[in-house]
Amino acid sequence: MLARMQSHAVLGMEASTVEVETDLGRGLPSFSIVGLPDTAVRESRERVRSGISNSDYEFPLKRITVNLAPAHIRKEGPAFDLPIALSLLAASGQMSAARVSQYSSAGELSLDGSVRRIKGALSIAEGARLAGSKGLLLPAANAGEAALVKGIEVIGVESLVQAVDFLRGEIEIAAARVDAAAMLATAGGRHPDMADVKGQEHARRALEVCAAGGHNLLMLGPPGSGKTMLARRLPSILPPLSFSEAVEITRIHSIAGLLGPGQPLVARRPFRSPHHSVSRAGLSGGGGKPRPGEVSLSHLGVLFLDELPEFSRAALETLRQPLEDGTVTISRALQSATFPARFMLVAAMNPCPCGHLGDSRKKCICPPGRIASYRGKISGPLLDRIDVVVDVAALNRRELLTEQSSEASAAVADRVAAAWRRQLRRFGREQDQQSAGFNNAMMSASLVELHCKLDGASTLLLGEAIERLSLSARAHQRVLRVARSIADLDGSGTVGAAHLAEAISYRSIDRASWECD
Amino acid sequence: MRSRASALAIAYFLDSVGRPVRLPTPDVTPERIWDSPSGEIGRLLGLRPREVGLLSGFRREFSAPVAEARLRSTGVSFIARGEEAYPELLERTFDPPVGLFVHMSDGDRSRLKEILNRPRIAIVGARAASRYGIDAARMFASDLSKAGVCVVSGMALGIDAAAHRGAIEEEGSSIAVLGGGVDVVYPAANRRLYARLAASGAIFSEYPPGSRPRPWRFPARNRIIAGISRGVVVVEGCEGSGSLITADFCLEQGGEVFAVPGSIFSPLSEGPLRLINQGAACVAGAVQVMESLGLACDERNRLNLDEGRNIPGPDGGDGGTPPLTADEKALSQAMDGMPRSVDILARRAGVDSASAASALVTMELRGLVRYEPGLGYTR
Repeated sequence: MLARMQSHAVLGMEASTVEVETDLGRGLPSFSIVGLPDTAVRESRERVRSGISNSDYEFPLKRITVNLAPAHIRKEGPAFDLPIALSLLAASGQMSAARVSQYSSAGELSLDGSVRRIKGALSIAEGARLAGSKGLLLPAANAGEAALVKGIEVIGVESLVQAVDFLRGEIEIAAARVDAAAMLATAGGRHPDMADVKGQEHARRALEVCAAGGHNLLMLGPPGSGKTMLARRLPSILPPLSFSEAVEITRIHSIAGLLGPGQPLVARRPFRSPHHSVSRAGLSGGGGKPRPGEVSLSHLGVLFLDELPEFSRAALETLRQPLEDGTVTISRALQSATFPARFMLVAAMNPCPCGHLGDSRKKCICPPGRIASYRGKISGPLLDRIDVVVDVAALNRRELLTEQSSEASAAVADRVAAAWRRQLRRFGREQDQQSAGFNNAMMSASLVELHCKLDGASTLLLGEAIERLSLSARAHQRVLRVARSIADLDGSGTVGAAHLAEAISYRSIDRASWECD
Repeated sequence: MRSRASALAIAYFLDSVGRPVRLPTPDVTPERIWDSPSGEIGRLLGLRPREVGLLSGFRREFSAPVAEARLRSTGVSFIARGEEAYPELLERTFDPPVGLFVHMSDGDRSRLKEILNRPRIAIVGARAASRYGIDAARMFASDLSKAGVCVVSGMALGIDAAAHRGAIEEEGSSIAVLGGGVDVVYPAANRRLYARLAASGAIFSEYPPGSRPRPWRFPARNRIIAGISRGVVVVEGCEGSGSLITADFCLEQGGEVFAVPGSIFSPLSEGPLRLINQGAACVAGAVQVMESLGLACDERNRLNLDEGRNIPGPDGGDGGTPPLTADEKALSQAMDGMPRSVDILARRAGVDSASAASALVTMELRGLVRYEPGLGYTR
């Protein structure tokens, strides 16, 4: 007797349909799984056998063959336990094979027959919708995230018994629902707030400019000057996520298995700060079976790299593709996958190896040559993708004690949101509003020329800057892009001299080379 | 000639065993030392027994004519003590080197002679110099070169490099005294400066070519900088820095020490301030240096120098620059001579940070303020 059930294998961001066919034949009792299964899938024999027995169903003493079709896709992970068990029960006549074949399912079985949470449920639901399944049986713990996909009924089950009862029509289980709008509406307040940062007006302003134009940022400052504190507050001044953005982020986190229980939706912009010992695969994603790395987990959010020079060069170089394209492609011998990776890069480093160059509290003890070699650890191509570099000075005790508390995130976020709307109008992406991410930082040279119109005074100023500060052609493009964002914050159509001058002030690193031949 | 060969042999031998190239008893001539039996040489040069053991092997292998030929082929000449070209000032010091290796890219002896005929003044200071120090060193060097003085320094980063650059820019010549062989560029960042110095000035060292710079060689090198110069101008330097060692050597050898004053708030001013306390001349321009050394400036140069100090700063006030805005005025009043961050200046001036950043850059472009990387803006 033969029974079929649909399931879905996650490959990169997508899920492709896998037909689980179970046949009971005559012969010596055996249980084999074919169709390119990995170890976890092969082990599912043991889990399925115990799960069925412990749920008080009969485990047939027949020659059992399970085929996962198509056979050329590598199947991995324990998510096929549930469809294998269900099709096995259908094949042995314990429930209707016809009804089982209309549904998709995925879930890991526990030995006692309960169903455990899996990774990538959101992608699986999307796959089931595309495959035209009548419904999708998923672990109850994953039902919330899967319910974000409209057009497929997601049935959350706690155990194999529940799944069988549902398919037999003995019980009704309501399709899972999630109130995304409410979750998005309440998410904003949970970020740490800018009002906690004392002083640092210059750095706060730089953060605001970066948020407005999507510019990457490098902060230079001695230890304890508040670089990390500032970076953590960047998500709080970015406009709230739209529904489709939140779903995109949730999908990546679902694949990485990072959604907490009771967290069906990532409603806040992610803030990821990998330690500097992170490997290349950890940062950009990868492994034998491609998994999203930190760059993808910070998609539409902030990737914070503290102590930038301490990161391995190999890891940093992998940032180049995502910074350029907003995606990262991981190619492996067996498969390749592309994950979205459009994040704001915020990096922080000490101004010198001892950390105290320019610190009013402590004297720097670095020989000058070492400072240059320390800064030289950051490769040119990476620096080229960082538009704003700002000095973060350490506050002394008196300043810390007397400093007034500062502007709250909400006020800054309003200005940033207005700047985003201006960019949206300018770059004409109204039709694609949900994922419109095109911002000033992404402008090509021709767009810069088109949109960064300078008035007379600012043309003069720029000429002066190129000459006196010896700005390179690339640095000059960056200055113009940043100036555009400052003008957007100001609500101004043209880039004025004041905007331009402020933009130049965020290029301290280009100007650091005054002592040369 | 024998004296020259012996001096060369001693220089190479001492360097090969990793010792400073100096004679503990300067009044004994090199050939007297080198012609003695090994035990005597060891005693005269203060060698350890192991090093004495190496002597006979070295004497078998070393041939002065071969060494000379190799030097010539690499554009290095050797001036032994006692030869005509050996700087007279150095000869009179307490501890003169047995000889000097000189590198000039054209190897032109007459140019070397011309350089050595000029009066020489050393300009030394901190490696981690401030912008102020760099500017000052450059100004002194270029003004001194205009007056026909040869500027001596150590080709280190910071003040030394600025002094060499200032001198070369004015088509003057400059001598760099290195702490390693004359063909070893240290620090490597000064590669281009080295090439320019070799082309229009000269590179000196008491160590044979190929000798690596070692920390203990720098103080010894400083005695040569002081030794070949009539005076030393100290621009910036912390307490206990090499610049002060140079100044001490200079005093011991009867030279003049000049100190360029700096801000009392800057640790880099410790050295010059201490020197001033101890009686060094406090100088604000090359003319003062020239006058106190009794060096004549010819009339043309004198006019050049008196026209005003060559201060880098506001471009000629031809009336074309717009007047300062209120923000700019407030910011420039908020400055106190030390580099200050945008935040501090903005708070003092009562201007918001965005406008302050913008105004400061505008003023920087007009040459009214300066930005020091990592430190902030200063006048």
